[in-house]
Amino acid sequence: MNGLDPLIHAPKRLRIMTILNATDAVEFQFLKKRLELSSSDLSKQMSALVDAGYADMRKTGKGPGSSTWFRITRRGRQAYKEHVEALKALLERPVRA
Amino acid sequence: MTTPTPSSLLSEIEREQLALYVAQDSNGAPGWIWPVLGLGTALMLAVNDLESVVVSIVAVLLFAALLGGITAKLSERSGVQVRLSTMPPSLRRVLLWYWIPAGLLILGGGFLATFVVAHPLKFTIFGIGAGLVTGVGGWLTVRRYEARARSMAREAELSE
Repeated sequence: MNGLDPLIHAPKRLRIMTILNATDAVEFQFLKKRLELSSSDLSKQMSALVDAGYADMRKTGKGPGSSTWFRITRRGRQAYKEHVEALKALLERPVRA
Repeated sequence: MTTPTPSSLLSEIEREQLALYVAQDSNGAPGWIWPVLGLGTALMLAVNDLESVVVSIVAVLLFAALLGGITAKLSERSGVQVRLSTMPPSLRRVLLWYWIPAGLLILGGGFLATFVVAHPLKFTIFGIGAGLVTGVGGWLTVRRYEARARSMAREAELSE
């Protein structure tokens, strides 16, 4: 797919990875509010990224006061970087007449 | 539904990054943080005039605990810990233009107070100065950072 990562290329996950790449850690509720996603949808997207090894998950606290934090892994950062470079490379391709 | 182009995707990535810094500041530090940090800095340094190693060590530990607690609380409150290395350079410059001079001022002042100046209240005077640099300087820097982030977001045609 022209070097594009199919997992990251999906619009919601691309936005998530952009945020993860720009942060050391980000909390679930922040992502949910920022991306305007439901809890179940965001959970699904994050599970895909965590299962692929692109993000790590960490829970803090217990009960109602608990929170879930995510951060990008080294593998995820590399994959995101390659995906963005592939997008830039597509921009530089000559357009067929 | 049109297929996004590489150009539109890259623009979206840039907008998302800028929106992150604006969103981070909408959950920003409460106003009392800076006077507390300034006062904490001043007290931590001023107690050195008592010339008690134990008191000095306790003061440093208490200040470190205060700083750690505030940092953790702010991070929890905002829900995000932005990464300095991926921050837009113009935003990063706002922070560095405070941290580096403030750090040099405080280190220089500390050196002078410790080795050069002979005055019974040298650390108290130094502490007041450092407290102002921390409290007032920090508050001003955060305001500049927020204004810069909003300005960049407006330029990228975001609304927050």
